Amino acid sequence: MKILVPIKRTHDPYSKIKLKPDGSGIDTSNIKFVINPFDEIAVEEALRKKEKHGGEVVILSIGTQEAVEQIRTALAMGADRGILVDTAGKTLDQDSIARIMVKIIGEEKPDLVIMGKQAIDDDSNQVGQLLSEYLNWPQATFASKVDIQDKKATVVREVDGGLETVEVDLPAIITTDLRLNQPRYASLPGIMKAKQKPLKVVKLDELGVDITPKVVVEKLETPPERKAGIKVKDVDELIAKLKEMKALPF
Amino acid sequence: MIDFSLEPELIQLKDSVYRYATDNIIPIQEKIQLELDEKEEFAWPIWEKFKEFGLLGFPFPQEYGGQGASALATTIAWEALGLAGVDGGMVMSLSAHTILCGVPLMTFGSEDQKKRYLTKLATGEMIGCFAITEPHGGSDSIHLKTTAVKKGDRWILNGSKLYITNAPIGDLFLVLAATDKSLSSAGITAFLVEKGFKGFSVSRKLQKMGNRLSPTGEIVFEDCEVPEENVLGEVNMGFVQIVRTIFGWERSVMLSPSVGSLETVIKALMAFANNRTAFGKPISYFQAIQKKIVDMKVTLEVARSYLYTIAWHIDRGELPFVEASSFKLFWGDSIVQHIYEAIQILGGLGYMRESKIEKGYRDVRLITIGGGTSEVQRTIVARAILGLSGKEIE
Repeated sequence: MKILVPIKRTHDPYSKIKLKPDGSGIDTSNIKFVINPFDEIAVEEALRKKEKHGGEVVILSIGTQEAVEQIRTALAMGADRGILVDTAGKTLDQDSIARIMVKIIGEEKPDLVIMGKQAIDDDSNQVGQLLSEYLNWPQATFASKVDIQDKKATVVREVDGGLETVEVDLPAIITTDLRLNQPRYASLPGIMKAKQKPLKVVKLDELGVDITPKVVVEKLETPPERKAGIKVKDVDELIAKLKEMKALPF
Repeated sequence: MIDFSLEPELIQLKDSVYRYATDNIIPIQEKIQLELDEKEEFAWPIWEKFKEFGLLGFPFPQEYGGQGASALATTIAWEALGLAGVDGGMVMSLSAHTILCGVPLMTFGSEDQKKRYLTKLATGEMIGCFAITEPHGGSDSIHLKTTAVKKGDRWILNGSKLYITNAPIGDLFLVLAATDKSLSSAGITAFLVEKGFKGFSVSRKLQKMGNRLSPTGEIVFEDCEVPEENVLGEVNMGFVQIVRTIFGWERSVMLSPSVGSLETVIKALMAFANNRTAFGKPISYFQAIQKKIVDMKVTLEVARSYLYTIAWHIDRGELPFVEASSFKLFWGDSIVQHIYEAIQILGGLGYMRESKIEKGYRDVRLITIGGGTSEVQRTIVARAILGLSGKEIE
C-alpha cells in the first residue's frame, strides 16, 4: 500500500508569535519551525499502517526550500521518500494547495492520502475536503482511529457530542485529529538514514497549476490584550457590576 | 577553512531528544522528583524512559545495540536532556553507565567482552559503574591502594573504592587496580567485575548533598576473583590508555547536561527579572541584575563552543585530555558561581525547594569535585603548558 502524507512547515506551537509591523504576516525571525502537529500525527499513522500492511510512505510538502527540513524529519521518523513542490516564496491559498496536490497525486497514484485536519498557523481546515472533491475520492475527516482492511478504511471520527464510525473505499482522503496517536520521536539511526533517502524537488511553475488566489489575507492583528479583572465581595455586587456592564440579557 | 555550523542532523537530534524528554520524562519527574530527592532514591521510571529512547547505549555501535552516536552527537543529546530539565542525578547515573563504563568498554573491549557486556549495558539488562576513586586518595588516581595479583588464570583483587556512582544498583564495575606499584601510572590495570563475583561487595550506600536520585556507594574487594578474560585493554595500561580516554569524556561530554540546564535557567531568570518589580520597576532594569544574567549568557556561549570543540577532537580520534581538564576547570567554577547568583536573583523564591533551583545548586556543586577536583585540573593544565613532568608536580 502506498500512502501519501502531505505536511506543512508551520511555526512551533510553543513559540511566541509576533506580527510584522504592517500586519502582512508573522515575523519569522527567531521562530522555530516544525511539522504541523496534525500532519505529524498523519505521518505516524501512515508509518503504523506501513508497518502492518507493508508498502511505502511518501511525504509531500508545498513550500520554500526550507520545508526540506520538515520533510527530512518525517523521513527520519521512517517515511521512505519525499517530494517538495518549491513555491519559491509565492503565497498560495488553500484551493491552490489542493490543486497542486491533485497534480502530484495523479503522478504518484497513492492508495491513501492522510493529512492533518488543519494547519495550526491559519487553522483553515479546507485542503483535505477540497482534495476529496477534486479527486472524487471519499473522505473521512477528524479521524481518531483508522483501520484498514480489504481496500477499505474504517475510520472513527470525532464529531460534536460523540464518535461516528464511517467506512470508505480506498483510495480515500483521511484527515487526522489530535487523539489519533502519539507521534514517535526521530532516533539517531533514523536521522542518519534519512540523509540517504530520496527527495525530489519539483518547481511549482512546471506543474502548470492555476494558482490565482481566490482568498487573499488582507491583514493580521493580534487579539486585544485582556484587561485585569476585579474582585467582588458577593453575588449582589457581581450582578450589579454585570448589569452596569450590560453583560446580562435582563 | 573552519566551519562552525552544526550538521542539520545534529540540530534534528537535539530537537528530537528535547521533545522526547519534555513529553515523556518531565511529566513523570514532576510527580516524583522532590520526594525521591528527600528519600535519596533512584527514579526507575525515568531510567526506563532513558532506555526507551536508546540513551543507555547511545554512543555504542549499532551492532551492540547502541545508536552509533559520535562524541559530538552524545554531547548534543545530553545537552538537550539538561535543556529539558531532566534531573541532574539521573543524568549523572546515565553518564556513569553509558560513558564511564560503556565508552571504555566499547573502545578497548575485546569482541567477547563487548558481546558479553556492552550489549547488556545497551539494553539496560546490566547497570554500569566506573570505580577508580579510593578512600585515601580522592582525585589522586595514580597511587591506588587496590591491588590485583595474578594467580593462575585469575586475578585476585583487594582493596576498596569510594564515591562510586550507581554502585548500590550496579551490575558491572570497571575497576582500576595497581598491578605494578613500582611503575606508578604505568602499573595500573582495568578489570571488568560483575557484582556476583566471589569476594565483591557493596559495603554501604552514601548520603549526598546533591544528585540524590543517583545512588552512590562504597565497594570492597576481599580476595575478589576476576577471570583473566575480564582484563580490559592491556595489563598495566589501564591508566595510560583507558583512564585518560574516560577522563577526556568525563570532563567534557559528561558535563553537557549542565550546559543545557544553564540555558534553561537563564530563560527562567529573564522572564522573572522582567516581571518582578522592586522600587516601581522590573528588576531587569537594575545593572546589578543585568550583570549577573549577562555574565551567565557569556559563559554559556563560551562553554558550548569549547565543549563542542573538545567533542569534535574526540571524534577525530584525538585525545583532548588537557583541553577537557581546562574545560572542566572553567565550567565547574563558573556554573557554581552562576547558580549561586541565580538564587540571588530569585531571592526568597530561589531559596524555596519548590523553585527547584536550590536542588540545582546542590547538584552542580559536585562539578568542581567529581571527575577530579578543580585543583587537580589546574595541576594537569599547568603541567602541560609549563612543560613540567609529573614528578615535579608531585
